[in-house]
Amino acid sequence: MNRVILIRFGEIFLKGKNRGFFEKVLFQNIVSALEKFNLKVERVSGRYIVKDYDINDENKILNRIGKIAGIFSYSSAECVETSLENIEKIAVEIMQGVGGTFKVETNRADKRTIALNSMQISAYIGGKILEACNFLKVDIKNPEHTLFIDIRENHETFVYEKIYYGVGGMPVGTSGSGLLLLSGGIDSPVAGYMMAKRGVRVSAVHFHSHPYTSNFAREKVEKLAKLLVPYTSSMTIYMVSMTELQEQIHENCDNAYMITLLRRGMFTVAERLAKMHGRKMLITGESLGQVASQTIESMTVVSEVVKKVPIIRPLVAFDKCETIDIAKKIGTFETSIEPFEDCCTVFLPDNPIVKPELYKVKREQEKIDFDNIIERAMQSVEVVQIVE
Amino acid sequence: MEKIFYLDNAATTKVFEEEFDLIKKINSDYFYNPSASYMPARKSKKILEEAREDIFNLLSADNGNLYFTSSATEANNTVFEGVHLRAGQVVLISASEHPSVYESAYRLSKKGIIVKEIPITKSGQVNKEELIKLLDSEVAIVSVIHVSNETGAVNDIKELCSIVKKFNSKIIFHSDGVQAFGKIKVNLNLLGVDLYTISAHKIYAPRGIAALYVKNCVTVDSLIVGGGQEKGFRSSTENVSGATAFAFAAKKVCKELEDNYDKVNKLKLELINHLRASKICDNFDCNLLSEGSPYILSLSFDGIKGEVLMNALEAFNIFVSTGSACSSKKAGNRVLESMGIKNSRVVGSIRISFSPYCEYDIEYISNSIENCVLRFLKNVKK
Repeated sequence: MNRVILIRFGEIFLKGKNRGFFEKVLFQNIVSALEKFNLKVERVSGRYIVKDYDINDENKILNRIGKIAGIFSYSSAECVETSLENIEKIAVEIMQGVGGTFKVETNRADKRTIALNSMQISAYIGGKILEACNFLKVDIKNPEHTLFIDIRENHETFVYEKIYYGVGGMPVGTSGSGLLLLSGGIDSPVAGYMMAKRGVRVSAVHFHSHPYTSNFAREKVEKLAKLLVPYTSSMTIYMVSMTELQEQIHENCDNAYMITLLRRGMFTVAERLAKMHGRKMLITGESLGQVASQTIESMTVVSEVVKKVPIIRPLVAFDKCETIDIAKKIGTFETSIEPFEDCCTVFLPDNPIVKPELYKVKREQEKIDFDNIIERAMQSVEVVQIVE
Repeated sequence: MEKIFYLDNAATTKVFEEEFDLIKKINSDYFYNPSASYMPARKSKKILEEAREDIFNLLSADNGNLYFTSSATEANNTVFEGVHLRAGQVVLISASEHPSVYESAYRLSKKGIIVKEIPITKSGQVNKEELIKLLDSEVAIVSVIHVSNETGAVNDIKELCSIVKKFNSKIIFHSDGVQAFGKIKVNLNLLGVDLYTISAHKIYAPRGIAALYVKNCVTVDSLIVGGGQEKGFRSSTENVSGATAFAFAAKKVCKELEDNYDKVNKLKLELINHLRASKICDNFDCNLLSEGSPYILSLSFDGIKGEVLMNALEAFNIFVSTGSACSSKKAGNRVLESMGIKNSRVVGSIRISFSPYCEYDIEYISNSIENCVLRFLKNVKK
């Protein structure tokens, strides 16, 4: 008897001829995510098996697997040599730990070793469980627990009771790479997670306004990135100072355009970074109409500066509460709500322009030496590597 | 290495070099549990008691006990949790208390105990007339900070305690002396207090050790129970090396107290004079009190944010704080607001706290402040 973890993939089944590529990337992602544990990962007919690990690490391993994009579900299972006696023994042992109602489900790839069909095996094992555990009741339609018996062709049978659902989506690295505009709020980490889930290798750019923003704000962003890393595999953050741009806008332009012009600066820098580092898209946490800078007019005049890469806004149609639900699920919410100012809250105008018009925005932008300020912002870039 | 100007000594201080050897020696040669009976452990106990006695003597207390705690916060919590109080009784605290007094006092209100704040004057000291007005037969504890951690204002504890004791000698008088001990003269016998809190890490000893003085005949229950250490007052295996380092630092700063005071006072005046001669002379206020502690200088600037100034000074290797470090994450500043300082100046305040054991280039510091303030004044919200 051996303890193993079975990992099942999700959507990559759909990928026809490319399936081999997707499976290979996912395999590599699993291996590298579990690198700090002493274990083996094998690819076996449509699934992965994690074996030879220290049982004391099992919860940590399961937890880590739960954050790997591309995994549909996973279970810790007992692996026995295929025989009715072995299955019975382990099935009873597992079910002694639960209460309430149950059923047994059998799946056979090997139809020869045991001379019963799947239904018969389920019925037989179910009977044995009832004999040993008189506190359990059978409920075929709506059981509280299902015992799965998975009889493989290599004389191995997996017996397990729990199925955990994974992140789903696609393995990170199968959909190119993107640059996330990571602010420190609730939305952008969720946007990063959503795209990692779609297979995008995510790195991030953070805009700060030190000394108007504090070191705490920067640490907060690093903390958020660290929380995202299990989903994104690894993360580089480009820290960029927007201080000069904000000061110049403040001094020379109509303050109502502060956020619009600042964001045009941010997107300009982000696109340049994306091109420089081979990122194929910009990712933002914008949600239509959420704040003044996220109206369709604002998005239009800000997007206008980005010519060469698409801007992906995975949360564009999300309500705030939907985003918060995901933030809580992925564990970034608590950090996101820590009260440190980000770039946009300093110099915040009382009446920001909600529906900016491009010609007016350009007119304001001409009042400052935009290109050179951006150039200096690019020179301020600090690279921070976030590791798990 | 670039020169650093650490001006946040009210938050914590750098441990004296000499203590490293002392701490190492105690943790290797006398690591034994002082409660054990074998001879080496008795030696460990003896070292602990010597440290206690040294500190006790420096406090010039006649009768009473000094109990070690893990922090001044714990000592202050012990005061409010440990004194026997019944619902309806009154606890008076000054409006300038450290959060460890403020929060632990207010926690008592859940038990029906009434907490009242003694207003402070514009200079940050407890208003004696207001204290007198608040005294009544229900008052059980009065707690007044000796030196304000925010402003350096020094309360006349001797007079305040005498007012309280004349009204009712049974009222327990506590003072948080964390920013006073080792910096200004502290003579508990003269002050007349029942309880007094001191801390090691504010006077160049490590964190993790502090003490509460408890006068004889004052009953304070334990906050932490267990093995009955510290004569049953505070259970937990004793921190012998911490206590020894505390005693070492305390002896040194108390011995050098007058010279240190003069040195720090000179630094404070020099900085103020530089700022007064600068382009920002009309934009700042400070707590230039002849009776204030020179160790703490509260500067406030109209129209800029203290936090932004603090961040900007970091680029010049000048480390200051906004308000107290313990509360700098919270908005506003309770103590400065209680002094009646207008909100724009509260927001624009920074705290500079000197050490006599650091070197400061006051001209550089003043110029840096001036540069930063001028830069930010330009950016005051239109």
